[in-house]
Amino acid sequence: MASNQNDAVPLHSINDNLGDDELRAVLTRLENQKDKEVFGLVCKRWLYIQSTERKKLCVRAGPHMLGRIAARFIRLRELDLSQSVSRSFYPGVTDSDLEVIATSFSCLRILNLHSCKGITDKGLAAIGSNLSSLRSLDVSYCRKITDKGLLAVAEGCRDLRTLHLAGCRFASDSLMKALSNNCRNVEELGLQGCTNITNAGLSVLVKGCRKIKHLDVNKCSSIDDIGISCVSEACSLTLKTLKLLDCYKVGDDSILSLANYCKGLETLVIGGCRNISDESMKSLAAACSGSLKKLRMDWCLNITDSSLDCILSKCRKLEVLDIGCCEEVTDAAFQQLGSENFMLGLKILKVSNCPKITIEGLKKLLKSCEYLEYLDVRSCPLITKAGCEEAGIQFPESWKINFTGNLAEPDVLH
Amino acid sequence: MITLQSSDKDVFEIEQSILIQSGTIKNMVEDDFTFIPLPSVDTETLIKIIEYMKKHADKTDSKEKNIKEFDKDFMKKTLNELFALVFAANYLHISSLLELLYPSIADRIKDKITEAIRQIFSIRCDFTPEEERRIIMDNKWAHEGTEIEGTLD
Repeated sequence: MASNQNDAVPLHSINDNLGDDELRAVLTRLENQKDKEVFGLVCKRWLYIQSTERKKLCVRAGPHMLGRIAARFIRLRELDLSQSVSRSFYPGVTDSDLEVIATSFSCLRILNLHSCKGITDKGLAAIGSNLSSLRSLDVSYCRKITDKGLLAVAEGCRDLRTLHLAGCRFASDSLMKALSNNCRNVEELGLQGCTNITNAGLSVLVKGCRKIKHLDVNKCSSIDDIGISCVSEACSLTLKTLKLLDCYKVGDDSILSLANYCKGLETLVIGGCRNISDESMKSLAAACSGSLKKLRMDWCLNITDSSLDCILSKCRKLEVLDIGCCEEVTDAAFQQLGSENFMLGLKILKVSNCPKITIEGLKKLLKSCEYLEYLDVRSCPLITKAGCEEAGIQFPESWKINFTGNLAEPDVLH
Repeated sequence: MITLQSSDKDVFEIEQSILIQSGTIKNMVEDDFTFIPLPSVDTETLIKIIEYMKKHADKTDSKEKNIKEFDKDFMKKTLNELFALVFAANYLHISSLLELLYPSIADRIKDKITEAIRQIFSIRCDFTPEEERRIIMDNKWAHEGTEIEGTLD
């Protein structure tokens, strides 16, 4: 729609005097959604400008509207159709909707289909065949999806950077191979609960995908040291986040491998990896002292004060620490904290179910953690609210302390 | 001194130091031009542009407040005058003026209903009533994602 069709309009009309670029510049100065909609209703040329200005759209409506959106917002880059408790509709996104989306939004880069439970491999095939510019796809909890559809995406969307598949139980090692062959730029991979992924899958994945920054294999319980060592070695320069929740076979070799290769690691989740012991954690603390920000190691039953002390003293950028149910930990772990000038940037600390930690340990924390926001001390028999008051401890106003479980948890380590 | 010539063939002599606020003129001056024809800018508009540049040339602290007052008054023009200024400022690459003009024009569109905008800007509506209805319906359910509101389809 380059030229306007208004012949009956008086000489100096805006449509004559302002070019598309100028009109667009005026449109972007309108902040209010309502004003933008009014803008689009003025005439066809203004509607075109308003529609093509839109890069992102969140759609909550029935599927038969999609054809119309497609015709109007042709330059869309980001489409969010995710479902949640607060945002859902019946019957939800279907495969035919995906076919419309795939053929209409050729510039689409980001597609969010989180929890769109109705979609199947058929819809994914349409995505793979048409959306070659796609960089980010979220099909978490789209439980009907299998390798067939996912392979179609891997083979068609070769610039994929981010792929979220949490809860897609049917995803398997064949997908890992397809990603390795086709999507070399993958940076973020979410495979939580994809229990069919094995060491072999990880190993073949990182043969081709060597730029991974964020890898989530929470609850992929067959993964062990072999798979993780492949990952750490291949992605040593880029790996920032590794999540291994409940991968109970993972042990010291993985941690040592990370210490050896991934010195830029920022987030590590090893909750439930009960084979991990002090020696490897000490090496990790030393290696990632400049980078580690978030560490979750609840239920790591073999961890004692010696590695914890090391972590706290070396990892000065640490902001989030979860050592819940690490039963061997005592107040001695915090012995460095009480000393002069030892300030920690810790914001979130969870020591729930650590029966040996007492109010004394808490006092040392108080001294050193100026920035603490949330402290979880549930089920610590020696730490109670009453006990703290008796001991005369004054907690800073900004601290949120969970003594009995009545506080909402910050969602930082999931 | 640099000589500018409008599309109506009127000439204006202005100091170089004032005119370099225009990226376009600055480039020509650097290429040693002293006579610059501006076929896309008519006299009326050129006078206003020169007025703007003169005021903004001297940006000492004490004049800040004066300049702001001037800018406010400067924008009190008819829409057609503003459009002409946008064209000229665009062509002459005077970004500070454009940064004033766009919000001023946007202000004339804010909080108005569509028909009012059409009248102000003398635009003829080229939608059929059916098309208009459809667009209004579309707008109810497709948004940028900043608010969660409204009904579902």
